[in-house]
Amino acid sequence: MRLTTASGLDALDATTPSAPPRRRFGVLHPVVAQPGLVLAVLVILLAVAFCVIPGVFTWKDPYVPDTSAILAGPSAAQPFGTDRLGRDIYTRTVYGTVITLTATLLAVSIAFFIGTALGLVAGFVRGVVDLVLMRVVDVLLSVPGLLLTMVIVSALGYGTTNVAVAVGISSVANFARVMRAEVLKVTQADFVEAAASIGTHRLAILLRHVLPNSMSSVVALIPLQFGSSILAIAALGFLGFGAPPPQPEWGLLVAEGRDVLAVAPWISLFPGAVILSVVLASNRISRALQPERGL
Amino acid sequence: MTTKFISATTGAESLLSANPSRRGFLAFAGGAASLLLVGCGADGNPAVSAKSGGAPVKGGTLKFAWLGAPESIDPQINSSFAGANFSNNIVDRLLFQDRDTGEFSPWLATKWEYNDDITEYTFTLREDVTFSDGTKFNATSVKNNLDQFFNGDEALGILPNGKSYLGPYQETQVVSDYVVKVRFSAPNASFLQLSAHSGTGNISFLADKTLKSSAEDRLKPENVISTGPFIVTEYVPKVRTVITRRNDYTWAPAALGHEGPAYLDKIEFITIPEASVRVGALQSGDVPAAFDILPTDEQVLTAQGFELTARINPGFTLGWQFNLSLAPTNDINVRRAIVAATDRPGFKKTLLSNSEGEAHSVLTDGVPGFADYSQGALKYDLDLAKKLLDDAGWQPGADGIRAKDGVKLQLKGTGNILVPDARVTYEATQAALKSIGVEVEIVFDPRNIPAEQLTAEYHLANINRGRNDVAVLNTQLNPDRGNGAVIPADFPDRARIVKTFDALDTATGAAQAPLAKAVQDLIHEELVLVDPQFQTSQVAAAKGVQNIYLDGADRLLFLTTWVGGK
Repeated sequence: MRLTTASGLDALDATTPSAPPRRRFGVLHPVVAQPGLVLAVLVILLAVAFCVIPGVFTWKDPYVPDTSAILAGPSAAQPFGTDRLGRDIYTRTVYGTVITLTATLLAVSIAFFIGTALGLVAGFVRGVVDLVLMRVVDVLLSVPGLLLTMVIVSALGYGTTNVAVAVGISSVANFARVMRAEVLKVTQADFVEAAASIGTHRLAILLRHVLPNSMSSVVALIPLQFGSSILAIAALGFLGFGAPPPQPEWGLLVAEGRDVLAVAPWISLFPGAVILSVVLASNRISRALQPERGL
Repeated sequence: MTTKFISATTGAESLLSANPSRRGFLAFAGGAASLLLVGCGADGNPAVSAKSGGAPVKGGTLKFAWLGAPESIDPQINSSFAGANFSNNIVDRLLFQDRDTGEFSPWLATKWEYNDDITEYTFTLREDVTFSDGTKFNATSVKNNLDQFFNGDEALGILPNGKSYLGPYQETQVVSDYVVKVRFSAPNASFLQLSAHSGTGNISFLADKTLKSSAEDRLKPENVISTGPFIVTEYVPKVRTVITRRNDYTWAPAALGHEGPAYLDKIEFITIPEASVRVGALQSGDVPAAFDILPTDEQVLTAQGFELTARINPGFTLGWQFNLSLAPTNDINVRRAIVAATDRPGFKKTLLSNSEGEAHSVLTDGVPGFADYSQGALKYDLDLAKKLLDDAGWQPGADGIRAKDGVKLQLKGTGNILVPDARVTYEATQAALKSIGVEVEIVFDPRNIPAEQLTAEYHLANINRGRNDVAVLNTQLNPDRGNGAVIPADFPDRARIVKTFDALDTATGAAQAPLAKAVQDLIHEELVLVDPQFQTSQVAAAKGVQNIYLDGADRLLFLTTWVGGK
């Protein structure tokens, strides 16, 4: 029986009623209870560190070919192996983090700000505005995401920034939808009606009461969108829409190994595994951030 | 006198057909499948030792997987690589060109001669040749075909497909039933090779019924009638093309050492765009032979007991054409430095596959008239490259990139997405240039860049154009024709440059060699118009299939191929 919040700790207690007193382990609880989440946070922190201080993690140059180590397999010197020009895949993956994550950040910001604003306006103003905005959102949602991004990139031109903008625009609909639903829920709440009844200005209600109280779901959507944006950006990089070679963008790294998959699988596999773990990690964090349901 | 080619394109005309689905999402799946298949092949299916030689076996169907698909089954339209490869088996040429010596020998024509000006060619034709609908192949057939190839037929929706290739074509005159005269308004030495050419722009002879069919009707196999050893019998666009043996074929070129009809009953060309899936189909035994094998797969397939048939693509070596109208590549020292910074012998040693070759000239080694510049103008010397830039006043800036008078050595170039090793060599050249203070940004898939934008913005444009004749230089680089190096109208000595190129049209055979040398000297030493990277190749892999033959233009000819050895 859960009367209070359904945090991980409570859930654990509920399933193990005979658990010994654990107050003295209190500090460790989240780690013990949610090792997956901790790991996820660590992965994201590591990725961010790759971005900020790549020089700490590798001392090699991601661009300089080395004819003495062409297609060398993973070893102590080259943990991820080398590519056809003898460049270290690990170093390239580390330096590629900056390109991919910056693009992802841009994409998610675009989606978040535009989507949230649209959802807020639609949910609060209602009427014709809501109708028009939501039909636009429906159209965006009805086109497969990657297809939509490709159409936008083709129109904007190739390049990492354009790919990020395209991915951002195509995920605006997700944020708009969630935000509108939240706004609709919050505007029904007593405190909003109370504020209105004492004559608070509509704009003030919107910004002071509705907006802050509708954000929780949208915030939880950010890491989820972060993961899917990384995937979308890497996919477009893989297809050649993104950063031009020799930039070590993640999707491009995977694509570079495609032709030699049979002889040198590490070129695609390791960067692929890095993409996979970062995406998984952000999805895990998103799940942890989701507001409690079923109350 | 100058000769005008109507539609000589500036952009790189790729040897391989453009196939957008190569970028498909199946790539991931395909890659994974190939991994699995490699695993199976190693222990599952021991290689049948396929020995060459032995008595050819008649009969059998060959399933042949390849990258592209003919865009049409009309041999006169087939400008794509797959199209020319397919149609090469359903048509014959006037002459046969030896793939090693470049010499011509009889095929449909038993005798040929040309006047001193090389404006008039007279062919004497074989008298026993028939189209597959039973009608005779004669002088009128040659005339009708050349006329339609050059002029097109608006009423039938046939475009003037051969206009740019036939050049100054004037008319064909039927002298007698089996003697025909082809006239040009200007010297056209390359027509001799064109009459044997099987690549892009080849001349194919079609029966009257086909010539009178509309473009739409020519998509039906029963309407495509020619004289070749095979007849097209089924065509599913982008999926499958089937050709079937013609049993009364008796006019194979003597130089091929083959008499009578082909051995194979049938050949099914199957399109498998993704390289790893194609190789997977080969490894799993789904197809006994495949074309368009990536250089990177050569080693694996050889190790697994597949026999590779490979040949260098004759024509242009793959490389960059400089844009002489744009700063800073309008500075010859910059061009020389880039050429000196390209490590051609190093590519061959470390990056290229066995079948690919080091570039020794703008022409590939086998093209008649080829001259070797690897120890001269094309020598790799990074120090020389640096010195050239230093001496020309290009000083390294704070960011390591050289600049002069406010112009930075930042270049834009195009790559080639269809030849996988082009990517690797271009990236290596890019890195070498970076190390001497020249920054190059490369767009590896230039297919979406309009031609005007290419000439207006790009300093380096990828080129690999196929043709086993020095005429390819004239078509591509002559400032009055393709002008691939974008030589400006007010370029000093332009008239002399044009004249040097045009001279190629005025001689054939041995007499042409010094003219070809003069043009290559101009390209490499005097003007520095191109930076060759390497010689590309065509590779077919097979198990239990004998005598896969790549002709002078590197197109497949299945006349002598047979299945067996198991």
